[in-house]
Amino acid sequence: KGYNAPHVLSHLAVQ
Amino acid sequence: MTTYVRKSEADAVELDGEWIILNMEQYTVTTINEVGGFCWELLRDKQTPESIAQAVMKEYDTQGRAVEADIEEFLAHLSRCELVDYERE
Repeated sequence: KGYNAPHVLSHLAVQ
Repeated sequence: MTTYVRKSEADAVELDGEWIILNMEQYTVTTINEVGGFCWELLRDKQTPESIAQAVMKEYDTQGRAVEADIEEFLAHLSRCELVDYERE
């Protein structure tokens, strides 16, 4: 597979 | 040398090439891309940035020091999200 840098796309806190 | 391992309370599922990580203690939902998911799977066991970079380069047939820098940045971000524990040895 093609390489893309590993990334955090989103980070949400849930109540 | 710093080793990283994922927190036991974090669990992940893959969906359409992205990974969704639920932290059941912090009540957070984090999404990461496909290569991030590959790294996340490796973090089931203790890893160093170098060991993850080696596995990524082998899996994705790529080379270069940029990969290791990418991994270090990614691990730092996971740490800020409180999804991994780390130890300096």
